[in-house]
Amino acid sequence: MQPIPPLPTPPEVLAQVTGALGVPVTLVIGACAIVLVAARDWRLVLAALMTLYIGLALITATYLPPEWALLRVVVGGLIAIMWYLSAQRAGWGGRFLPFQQQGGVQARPLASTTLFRTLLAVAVAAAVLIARPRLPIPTVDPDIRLVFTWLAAFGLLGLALGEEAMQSGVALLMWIAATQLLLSSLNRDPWLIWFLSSTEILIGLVIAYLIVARGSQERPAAAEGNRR
Amino acid sequence: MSGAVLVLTLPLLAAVLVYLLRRWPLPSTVLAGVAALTMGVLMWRWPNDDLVLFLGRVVRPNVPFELLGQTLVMTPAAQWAIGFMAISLAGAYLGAWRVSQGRSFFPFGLVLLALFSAVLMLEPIWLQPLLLVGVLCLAVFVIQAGRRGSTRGALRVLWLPTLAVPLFLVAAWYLGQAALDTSDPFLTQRAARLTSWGLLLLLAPWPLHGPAKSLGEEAPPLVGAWLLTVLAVVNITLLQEFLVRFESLQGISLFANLPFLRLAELLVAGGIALCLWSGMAGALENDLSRLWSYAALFAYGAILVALGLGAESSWALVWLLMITRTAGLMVSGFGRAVIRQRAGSVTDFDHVQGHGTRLPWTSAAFLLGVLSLAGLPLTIGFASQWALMQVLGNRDWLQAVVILAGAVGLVVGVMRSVRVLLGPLKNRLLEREDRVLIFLAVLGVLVVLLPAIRPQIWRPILSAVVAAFASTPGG
Repeated sequence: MQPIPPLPTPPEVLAQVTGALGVPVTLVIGACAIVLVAARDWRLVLAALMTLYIGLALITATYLPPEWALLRVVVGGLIAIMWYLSAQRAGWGGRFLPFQQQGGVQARPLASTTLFRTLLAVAVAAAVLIARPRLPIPTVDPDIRLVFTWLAAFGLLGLALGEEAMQSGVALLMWIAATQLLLSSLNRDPWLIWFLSSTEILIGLVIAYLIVARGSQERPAAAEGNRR
Repeated sequence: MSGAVLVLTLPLLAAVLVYLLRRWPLPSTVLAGVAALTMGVLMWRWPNDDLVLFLGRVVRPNVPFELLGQTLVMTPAAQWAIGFMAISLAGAYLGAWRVSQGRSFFPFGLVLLALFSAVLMLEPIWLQPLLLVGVLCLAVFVIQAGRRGSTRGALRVLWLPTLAVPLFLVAAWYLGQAALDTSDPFLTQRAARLTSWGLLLLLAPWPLHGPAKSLGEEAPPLVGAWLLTVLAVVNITLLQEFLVRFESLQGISLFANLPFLRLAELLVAGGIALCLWSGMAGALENDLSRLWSYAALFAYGAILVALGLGAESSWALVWLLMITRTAGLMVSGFGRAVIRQRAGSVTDFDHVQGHGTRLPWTSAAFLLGVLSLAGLPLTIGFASQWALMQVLGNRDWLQAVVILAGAVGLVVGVMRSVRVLLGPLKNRLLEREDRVLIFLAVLGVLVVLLPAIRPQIWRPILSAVVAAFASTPGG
């Protein structure tokens, strides 16, 4: 009987997956950024955030040791768990962020604001693709450059559009993730990566706290709306 | 022992004790206040480059200290700034003695003091904005203070520092490349340009003032007053450190093809616009918290103008404006905190109508503090505003007139507030001030009025500032 081959370690799996994927990962990250800015369903936002971090890990694995790339998944996972627990505690049972239910008015799945945000996101995406060659970014791998520009642009758009904790938090995380992607490819300094990852977790923690603070106020209003 | 160790450990140890004593308001307040005051006095009294004896141990304030692979060094400017932050925290604690600013403010304030000090001492300097973001993440908890509802003030405080982080880090990379390839001036220029953008985001002149306005409006008043002070102190000290270390920052434009668009010019223009904007908005506001927030922005705009004037002004003027702003913020913040507490955590004109008839001393402290922020004569803010007006008058009188227009707007806002506060009282059950509140309010009023009568008291403090910042070019 043939001995069972040893199972690959997570870093080996990551390295193999990274070799097989290239453009698809970039496309998935791009789509996730659009969803993160445009979506109003908090569960969709969390799913897109987790997917984004997995995509970033795959890209990071192309130029850094897989252990460092896995750190991206760990950070994204921790933040997603914290936000999930906060959303549960804040009573966000429904589809939408709580401010969408104020005054007893329920937002529709394709509300005008969602369409407007999607339109803006597409406009920013087009602007990024056109202006990318002229942006003052250090010379790095074209894929990394594209993902950095994309995430930074959508981070800014998210900040401009988002008034709520989760939306702004997602935007800040996209900005920091873009920063980390660029700097880790320029300057492979483990200490800096650790510092940036810690900052991401801190931002995630703070946003989780603010989700609870914000969400818990909206519960009576939502309940009132339901009674009507 | 390094001075950096003491700066980190003293407030943290005190914070633990204050936390353990949190059920006893008076001892915890006294301990927190004494710890902050002690640290401030020590920082201002100790020579930066000499040995001092502290509790039987020899301390050298400027000796580097290694922590987690990074170096912490206390420069003269950082030492001065840490002392200032500590003393202003002691002032905030005094005001918060009888008006709750959130359960966590006393221990957390000391923790934040240690961490903001670490920001100013961190080497390399390029990492300071990143650490600042981390510290502000913790500050969010005292800004929100367990309050349910709007999270705008707590959230927005993170925006601009986070946006500035990559600019500094990429600039550091460019400078590293420039050291390897000295023949390419493009690398240094790009580093200087990115740093200037980063500093612009951190200093946040008009129209980037939104986060500061939200912070002032939504945070507990004395927490807001202290954090607005600390953020200004940290950012200005950071600017000073960059100017000292990187001469390439002098005169660099923010865009390669727009040579006239330099950081200094943007600070002057943005500062003047901020003064005018906040004055106009303050005149129209129907809420004491928003009026206070705009008054704080007005005084900050004046600081930005003084910073932008650079060699025409001086660091002494910048810090005179900073000190008088802090005093005005603390005194008016105390008055606002009491009025807000009595009105049920709201400060719109409908809810505070007539409060001045039952809270005359705290109302006076609030109104005089706001007038001081506007730089009105016979208040602590006048000396600094007058000095700025003189510098501006020699340069372009129109700019001085614009700032004065902003001040007039704030005065209109104060007059409207007086009318409301002294109007017919709606809440007949409103209690009068107790003796302690009257004592604190009178103390605040004296802090606002006495230095205006004897302006020479500023001389020793400003001499110390000039000595600390002596190595800095004009900007």
